[in-house]
Amino acid sequence: MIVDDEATNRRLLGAVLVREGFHCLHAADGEEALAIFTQQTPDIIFMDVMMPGIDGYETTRRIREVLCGRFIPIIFLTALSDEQSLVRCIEAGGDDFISKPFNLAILKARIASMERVRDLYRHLESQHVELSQRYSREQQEQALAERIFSHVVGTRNVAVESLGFLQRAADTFCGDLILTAHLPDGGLRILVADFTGHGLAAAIGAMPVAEIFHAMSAKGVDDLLLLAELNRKLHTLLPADRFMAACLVSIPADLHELRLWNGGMPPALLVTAQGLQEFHAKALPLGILAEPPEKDSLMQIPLKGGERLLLMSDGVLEAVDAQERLFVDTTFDGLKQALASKEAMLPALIHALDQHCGHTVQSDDITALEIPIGTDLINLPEKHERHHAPPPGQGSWHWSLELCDSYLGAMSSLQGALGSLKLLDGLEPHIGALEIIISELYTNALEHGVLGLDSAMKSTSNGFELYYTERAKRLQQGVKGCVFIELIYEPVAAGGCVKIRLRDSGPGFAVTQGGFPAQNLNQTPDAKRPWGRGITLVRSLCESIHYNQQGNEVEAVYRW
Amino acid sequence: MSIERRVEDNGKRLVIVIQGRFDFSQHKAFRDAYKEQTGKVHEYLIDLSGASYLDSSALGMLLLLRERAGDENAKVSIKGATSEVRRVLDIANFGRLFTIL
Repeated sequence: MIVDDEATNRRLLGAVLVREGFHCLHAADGEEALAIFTQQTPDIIFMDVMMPGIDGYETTRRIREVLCGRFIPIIFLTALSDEQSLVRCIEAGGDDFISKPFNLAILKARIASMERVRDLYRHLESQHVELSQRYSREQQEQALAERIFSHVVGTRNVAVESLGFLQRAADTFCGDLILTAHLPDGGLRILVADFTGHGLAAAIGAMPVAEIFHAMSAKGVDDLLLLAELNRKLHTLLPADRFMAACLVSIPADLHELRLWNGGMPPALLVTAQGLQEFHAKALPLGILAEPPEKDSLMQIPLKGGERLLLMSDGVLEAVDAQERLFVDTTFDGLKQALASKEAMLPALIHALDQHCGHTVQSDDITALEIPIGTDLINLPEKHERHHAPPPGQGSWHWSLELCDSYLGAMSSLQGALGSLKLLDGLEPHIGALEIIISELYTNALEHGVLGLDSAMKSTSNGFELYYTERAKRLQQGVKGCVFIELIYEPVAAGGCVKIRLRDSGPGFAVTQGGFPAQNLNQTPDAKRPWGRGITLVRSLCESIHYNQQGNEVEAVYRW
Repeated sequence: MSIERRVEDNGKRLVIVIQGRFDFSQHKAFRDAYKEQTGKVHEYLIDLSGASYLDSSALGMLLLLRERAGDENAKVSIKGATSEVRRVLDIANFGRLFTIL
């Protein structure tokens, strides 16, 4: 489009442009130029400066407003040659100027140059459109994936009201994961995990992890087998540079110990009456090696009640302040001891973290979980539940197992032993209670019968540690002995009955020796005493429990 | 922030020197440092004495190098980690996969 109030100038320039292959539109003033411009969008505009009505500067400004960022080159045609006027051309939105009268060669060169600039603009513009489409598509997919993810991960967790959570995601998607589930005996299992990288890639790994965690925990599969399966799955699923650091915590229903596995996470902090203990990672994160985590990487920590456990992802330790200093370097070490003296650790941790970070941008997911260990976490199975009981008079079964020597430490769960035989079908409401009874009686038979450990050892805090150290030592040295377990199921008219018999190869207990277990059975246990809780629990679940005279054979009757 | 490589011991050792932050932005440079290496390397030595920071994606990059070294029966060593970098390696228990000098 040529905008010039002099018809001669328009004709002259038009002739040149037509020869160059352009189709020309002519406007005699600014108003006409704007009218033509709105109907037919030209590719390049030649603009005279001095015109009656609105001048070239103003016309250019208005065209630029309409273009709203889109690019059409505007070249000023000007007889003026003072610097001031040329600067005004550019300021008004012009891209170039040609002095009148124009030289043909220069005119052609300027047009070619402007066309190049215009092509570049168009290219950029199309890329920009494509980028923003891709971006919005990605946003949608992230949102969708997050919905699926939070459904799979979050909705099945248990005991959440008893736990303290801190979760702050750095991305739309959190690479950190918290899973909780009850074990068949009513105990609680918790997994806190941190995937390498954030976003979608991390979430893809989280889904099978959640599935495996819930399915295997419901079946009472033990910690090492669960870890082995998670490791196997992640090793097959993830590329070599991706893995999952994790802490796995299991707390059995009788709260007598804490089983803790730490693979590549910051130390877990346990506050006890004695003070603060740290449990450092003993294993690699999951998904790196083909081999399952080693047996000795699982820690067994005796509990006395009232302990609190704090688990964290490295996003907490590595949170930076305005000077790029890490939380672990500035604050954390000093904070740890203070946390140990607090009622709850998490609020103090969050406060310190907020003070440290101020308004800095969070670069990694931050996760912390406080577990106050107590009966709130436990979901004890009902003692008497009548629904789901198998129809009366439909057969009975009798099952027994003898574990000797090196197999003594490896008693599997009831579900693991009998589930695949389908013997537990119809007994589902009672499995939890049976798990507790069998595991407590087995623990007694092994620890007091075969290993000859004395419960009274546990009455001092030192002895408590010593007891479990001794237990591990004796098992590791290669123990000789046997424990025989027998289960007898009999349906009765309105329910059922399971008799649980255990016999160990130990010498048995004299009533006087440590007062356990025979005497203990007929007493109300001392609530403050750190031992003897297991047998109390068994007694509360059973109709009856009897030790033989010698003290190496027991029969418990569970009836519903 | 840079990654340099040099070959020592008649081509038997490839030293990769990392300066500054070792994170995902170094991914390509780190991979390039060993990818084009021809001939038999017995040891990959990662020099972290100039590395100020190491994140989990850097751990992942080390695992990728370990995978390649495993195919070649070569070993991977890490030297010069500052205390901050060392802490990250220790938490991840990487001492079990790499020789940390």
